[in-house]
Amino acid sequence: MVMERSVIVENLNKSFKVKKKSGFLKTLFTPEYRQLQAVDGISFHLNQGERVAFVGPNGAGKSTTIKILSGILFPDDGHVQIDGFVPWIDRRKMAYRIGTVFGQRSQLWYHLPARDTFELLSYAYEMSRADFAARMRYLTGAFAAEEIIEKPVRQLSLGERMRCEIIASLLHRPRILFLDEPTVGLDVVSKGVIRDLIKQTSEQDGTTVLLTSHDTGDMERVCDRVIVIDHGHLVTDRPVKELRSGFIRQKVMALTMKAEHIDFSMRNAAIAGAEGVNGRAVEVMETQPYFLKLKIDTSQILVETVLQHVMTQTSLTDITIEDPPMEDIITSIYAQNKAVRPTGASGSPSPQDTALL
Amino acid sequence: MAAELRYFWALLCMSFKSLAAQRSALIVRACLALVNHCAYFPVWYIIFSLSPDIMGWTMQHALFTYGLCIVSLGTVSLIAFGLRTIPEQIDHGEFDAYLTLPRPVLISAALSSPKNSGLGEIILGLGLLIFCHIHYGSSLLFLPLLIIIGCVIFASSVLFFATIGFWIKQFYGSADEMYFNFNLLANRPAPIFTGALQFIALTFVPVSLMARVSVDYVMTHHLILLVYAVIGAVAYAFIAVSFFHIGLRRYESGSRFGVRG
Repeated sequence: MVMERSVIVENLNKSFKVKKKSGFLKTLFTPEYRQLQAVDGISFHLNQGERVAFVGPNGAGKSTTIKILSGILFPDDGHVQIDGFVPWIDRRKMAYRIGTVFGQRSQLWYHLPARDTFELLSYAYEMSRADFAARMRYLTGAFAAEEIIEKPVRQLSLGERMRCEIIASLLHRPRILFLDEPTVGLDVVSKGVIRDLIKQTSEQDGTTVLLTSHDTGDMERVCDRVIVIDHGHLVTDRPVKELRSGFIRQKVMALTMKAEHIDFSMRNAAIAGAEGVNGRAVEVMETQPYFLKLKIDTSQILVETVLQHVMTQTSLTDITIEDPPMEDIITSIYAQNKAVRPTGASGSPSPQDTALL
Repeated sequence: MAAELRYFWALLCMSFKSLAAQRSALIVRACLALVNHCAYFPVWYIIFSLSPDIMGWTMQHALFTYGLCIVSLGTVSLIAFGLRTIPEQIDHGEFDAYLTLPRPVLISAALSSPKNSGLGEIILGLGLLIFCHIHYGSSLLFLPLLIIIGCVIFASSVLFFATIGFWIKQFYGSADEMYFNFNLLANRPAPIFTGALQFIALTFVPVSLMARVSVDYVMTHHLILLVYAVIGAVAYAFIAVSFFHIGLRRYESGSRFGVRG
């Protein structure tokens, strides 16, 4: 079966003109500018109904890319098609096909109930009254927001407001949903609710989702695929599951032992029989009576070897082996990318610039 | 076009709903505005008691001009306060949401942030214009048109100055000064604009188009003045909207603080 491509991005480039800071009078009369490369030759595509996380550190170019895709900014170069439309040429036609949520900005009217904003948006998207009423009934039911939408927005909690923002973005049945940090500032419970609702809506309506976030939980709970970018470059593009297996070179092993303590001080010497193992292959993360937690570098030594070494000293009552948290995986991806691409390369954002992107 | 009008109407209704939600503040502000504007009248009364005609400028001119100016100011503030906050909206990146809608950005920006201001000016301004009609026998026939001309000129000037915010950071304070001064100059006595100043006031900075030309028409009934005022208002609106779209293009380029991701 051929999957329909709803988002096509090819060799996308975007740079900003940034004023150099060099003295009050000098910049006032003869300002100097430099080009800041925010997006540097990114290419990817999204199939209809796919949920993709767009991840990167501050200044990576995530928001710039999402703004180009949603028609807010135009690029310097490259080709983009959103459901068949070029955003910067057919912005208003494309607007009927996309929904946007910017976590740090609201499209709801502050003094009025969210229901009124929904009604206004129904006129913006030329919905018939019957269609609007049916769609609002469906969405408020799905988001359990029947009461929330009757309260003035200023009285809503951040989580409730975000639910209303997402309803507003889904009202006109967009085929593609762009979410820029939708869970920023939310508590753990609200984050969970928002993530589940996005996933559920996408599954039911077949909506394509492109989500940017610093929170790896958003990525794991909502998305099938992850695109990691850094300094405007695409670092990796793969399914969430593969990201774990592809980048994880560490395992965390927690052992509950019969012995109160074991002598692990000679661990490296004892297990150094394995060829090429260096002193950092196994790291003790936590030690308590009858309990030991180890971080194992699987590129250097097998988990089995470490386990055998432990079992020469004690029997085990319980054992768990886990992957490190997704944050660590992403951090390691950034670190690997940095090693390949040293900072300070021409046109790369400086630490000051990252605040602007 | 029908879709744009329906959206415009829906936006207008939302603005009024939002204002109704702030009705106490709206009424208090209207009362304070009435007091503030009424403070001018004793000064004029004294001046025109001493000299009823200052280079052809009479009490009737003063009241009619002031009435038109504050009705225009009040109407633009009440309906399209968003025009006045465009520099702020640019700085905060609020145009992003408008750019993702299938509707004109300018309409959304102008009508999306109503504030509880303008009601006092509209009440006092209309009161003054009706007073002029009763007391001096001025015709009310073209009054709606004259008010529309005044509103279009003032809204265009606000839009024009606010658009500078696409190039200069934190421009809202300066833009506010400009709107205020534009309105202030528009209700100053006509005889102060002579020679080059008169030319400027009728073309580049069309303060005289906002009320003076209309008042001259009311006094002289020369239809050409009305035609000139209408053409001037349309031309100035066109220039202001075009300038806004040049600024919007800069916003879309991202080379403006507050716009980047």
